[in-house]
This record gives sequence, structure tokens and C-alpha cells, in this order.
Amino acid sequence: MDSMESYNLRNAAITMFYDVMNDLKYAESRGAGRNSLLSIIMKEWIISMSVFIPHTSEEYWHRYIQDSFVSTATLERPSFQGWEDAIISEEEYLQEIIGDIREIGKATGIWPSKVIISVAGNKLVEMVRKINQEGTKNLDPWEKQFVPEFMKNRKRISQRVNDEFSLLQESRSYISDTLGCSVEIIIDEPGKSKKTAWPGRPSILLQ
Amino acid sequence: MSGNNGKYSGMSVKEARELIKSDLMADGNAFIFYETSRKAETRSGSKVIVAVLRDQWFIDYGVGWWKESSRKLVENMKFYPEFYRKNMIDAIDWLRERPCARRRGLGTKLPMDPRWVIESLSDSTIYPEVYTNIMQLKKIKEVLGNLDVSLMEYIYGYSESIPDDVPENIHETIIKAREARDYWYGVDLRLTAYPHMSNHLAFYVMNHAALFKGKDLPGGLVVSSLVVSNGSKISKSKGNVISLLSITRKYSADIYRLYVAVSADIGSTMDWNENDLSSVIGNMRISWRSWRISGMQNQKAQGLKDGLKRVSEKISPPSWTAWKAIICAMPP
Repeated sequence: MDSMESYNLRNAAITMFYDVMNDLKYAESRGAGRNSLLSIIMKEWIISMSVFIPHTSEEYWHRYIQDSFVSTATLERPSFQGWEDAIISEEEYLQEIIGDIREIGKATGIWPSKVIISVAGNKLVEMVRKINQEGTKNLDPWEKQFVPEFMKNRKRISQRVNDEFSLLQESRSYISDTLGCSVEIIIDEPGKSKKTAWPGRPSILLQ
Repeated sequence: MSGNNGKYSGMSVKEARELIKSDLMADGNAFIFYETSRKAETRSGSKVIVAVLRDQWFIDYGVGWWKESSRKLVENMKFYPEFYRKNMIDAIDWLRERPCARRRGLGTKLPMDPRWVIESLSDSTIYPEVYTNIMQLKKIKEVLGNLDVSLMEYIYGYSESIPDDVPENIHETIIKAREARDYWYGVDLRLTAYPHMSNHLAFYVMNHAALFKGKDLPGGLVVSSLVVSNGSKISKSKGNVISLLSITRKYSADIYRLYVAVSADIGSTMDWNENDLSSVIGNMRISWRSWRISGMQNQKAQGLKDGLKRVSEKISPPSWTAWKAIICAMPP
């Protein structure tokens, strides 16, 4: 919509045509049914595309949406329910992890047969929550030993995903299919492995 | 200017240059000599002959107040891409006297000298106003046989009443003509290509600044770049002219529109390349197939909902046989 308002027609066309198709493909790869997705967005998608392909849009509008003209239909700004942000954050988190694994593979020249992703355990999750809400004053002695490492990595530590372990566990077969190797998800307890897994910043081991 | 420079002392070089120029001209010691920036040739490579016609009529675009009001208009207009706003100001500053009439061809007679016809670039800038009510104008002409100046003044908002000698049976159409013009004019956004910046578009802006006000002034300009074919300029001599008619017959208007939209920004050159078109066509087919399948499924689902509603209205409570029939009919 913003691109249309500013006459950035190329950007608008690419967003409405290629980006929507790519998003559909992505959603399908994550297990969604194309038809059920389309039934949610089809009306708005046809209105958006009618700017660029008016004749075809009119035909499909008449046939499948309603007996009126798409050229007179108005496109409302979508009203978000609130839960979309959480889902988008989770998907971004997932893509970042896949991207990181690919980068590690490229940098080391190793293409793994297995990837172990360790997510932060409850103790560190709770510690980060405390620091974010109250600062470092009320940390117990065990937690305080991790403060220097937390400070060093704080830019990349975040609690944008509520339950990293469940998300990665549910997405295990997707990650495995995307990377072409087996994937194991574990909960890391500090001190057990060389590198500590933090909320939003899991540790990755390629085998 | 420092030192002893007579009456020019103390002036900036820019100010002194202009004053010396005008002084020399006033004394008859200088005249304006125009020189082309490159050797000019006709399209066929022949010599260009510039003739100044006797009694030629000019529009003087160099008048100060006119340039000022045109600059103000440009400031209030929308420009896409934005950088053409400055180009337009430069074009307005550069324009001087321009011939505005010719002795042959089709066109409107010059009111003050009917031997001359208004030159097309001069009147083409404001004629879209007539598009707004052409249907009513034709009807009025059919009835009255002519559209005289006083009637046109009423239709175009320069007077407040229909002339007394106009028969009543056409008043309604005349009022509609005025309303249509009021409703549609001015132009919200005019689209054209950048080679028109220093002539047609500059005239368009300046003529509107001179003749119109308020909502009748143009709202904005979209200035597009050109279309080339496989990296080359399109020209008749190269034989690479693209016929829009043949494109629409071969591919459809929608595919061409989408290709144009995704290939280049408004301000960038668009290269027509049929090899690149296959990607757009492929993706269009996928989206159409998706729309079709999803649309059919939705219709089927809606049909089932309606069927279920009808069944539930007739059978209360629905029998197991009815439920079974509905469940079996549902898509997997």
C-alpha cells in the first residue's frame, strides 16, 4: 500500500506478485495447505493485483468472489490480531538459525551429516528475564558467574521467542529437509558444553 | 567587481555581466546570436533549414510574473520521480519567446489572425479540458449548429448565466456540460515521458499557471523514461518497433502490463525482451491456477454449507443417513 501511495509501482508489483507467491511457497514448506491459505488472502490478493492485471482479476473476481467489479472494490488496511507478530518472530528466528548453520558450513567447509542445536535451559531463561526486568542486583551467586558472558553477547540475546525448544522440536523435520541432514534439539545446561546457549542465541554443533 | 569599473564597480560578476549585456544591446553594440550545441541534421541526414516566417506569432514565456506563478505551481504539484521537479523549474527559467502558430495543417484558427492555425504544442496543453464534457458539447452543437463564445464562457466557468438567445430545450445539456467540466477538471496526475519536459510539459505547466486557478490547476506529473527493445533504441529505421496490438494479441494486455510493472521503475528505461517475459508468464500461470483451484474449493465448501443449512432446516434432528450423506460429500 505504501509503495502504491508513493507511486513506487515496481516495488508494489514485485511485493504483490512475487513476494506473495514466495510467502505461499514458504508457508507450504512449513506445512500449511496452499488452498486454505489462498482462501484467506484471495480476495485481497485479487484486489491488489487488479492494478496490474485488471482483465484477469475482473474475470476471477466475478467467477469466485462476488458478482461485482473488482475495479470498484476497496482494499482495507489489514487489521492485525496481535498473534501474527509472535509467529513472524518465530519464523524469523528459525530462518536465522538455518542461515547460521549454512554460514558455519560455508566457513568451515564441512557439510554436516548431523546438526545439534542446543537451546538455553530454564535457569538462563529466568536469569535473562530478571536482568531485563530488574537489572543485575537480585541475581543469585550461581547466576552472577554468567553476567560477563551475558554482557559480551547481550546484543544477540533476546526473548522474542517464547519456547525455543518446542518451536525447534516441531520444526525439526523442516530444518532437516531444508539442510539435508539429521537434526537433534537439546536443552543446554550451562557448563555442560563449551559454548553456552542463550535465549535467542542457541549454540550449534555440526557433526 | 573591485577596482575602477565605472558604474559596474561593487557589483557581483553575475550582476555586472547581465547589466553589461543589456547595456551593449541597448546601445546597438551587440545582438543575440544563437548557436546549436552540435551539428543539426534532419532524420534523413539532410541539412536543417530554419525559416523565420513573416508575421510569425509568438508566446512570450519570458515574462517575469508568469515565470514566478509557474514556479509556485510546480512547488505545489506532485512529481514522480521527484527529481523532475527541479528539471521543470529549469525548463521554465529557460523558456523565452516561442512561435505559437503556423500557416498550414489542421487546428484551431488563431483568434486575432485567422490566416494562422494554433501550433499543436501550444494548444495541446489545455485541450484535455474539452475531454471532460465532449459528449454534451457534441449534443449542443447538433441542436444549435454552433458553439459561440458566450455559451462556451458559461460552460467553462467564465460567466454565470446561459446567454438569453439559447433555446430552453438545450439548457439541461448545457448545465450538464458545465457540471461535467467542474467535476472532472483539473487533472490530478498527468503521465508522459521525459523528452517532453522542456517543451510540451513546460508549456502545460505555464499555460495552466496563466489561465487557471484553484482546483483547475494540474495536481502532478508522472514522468516516465523510455522503452527500448533488447537494449537498442526503438526506431522505424532499425525495424524494431514494438506494436502494442501484436503484443496484446500474442501475450495479452495483462501479461504486458505486469511485465512493464516489474521490469523497471517509472524513471528507468524499460527493456522489452521476450526471453525475460517467460518468467512472468510462468508465474502468472501458477497464480491463476492457484486462484482457480482455491476459488473452486471455496465454492464447493459454500455449496456444502448451504446444503447443510437446507438439510438441517428440513430434518430436525438430522438422521444418521443425512449426516452420512453430507460427510461423504465433503472434500478430503
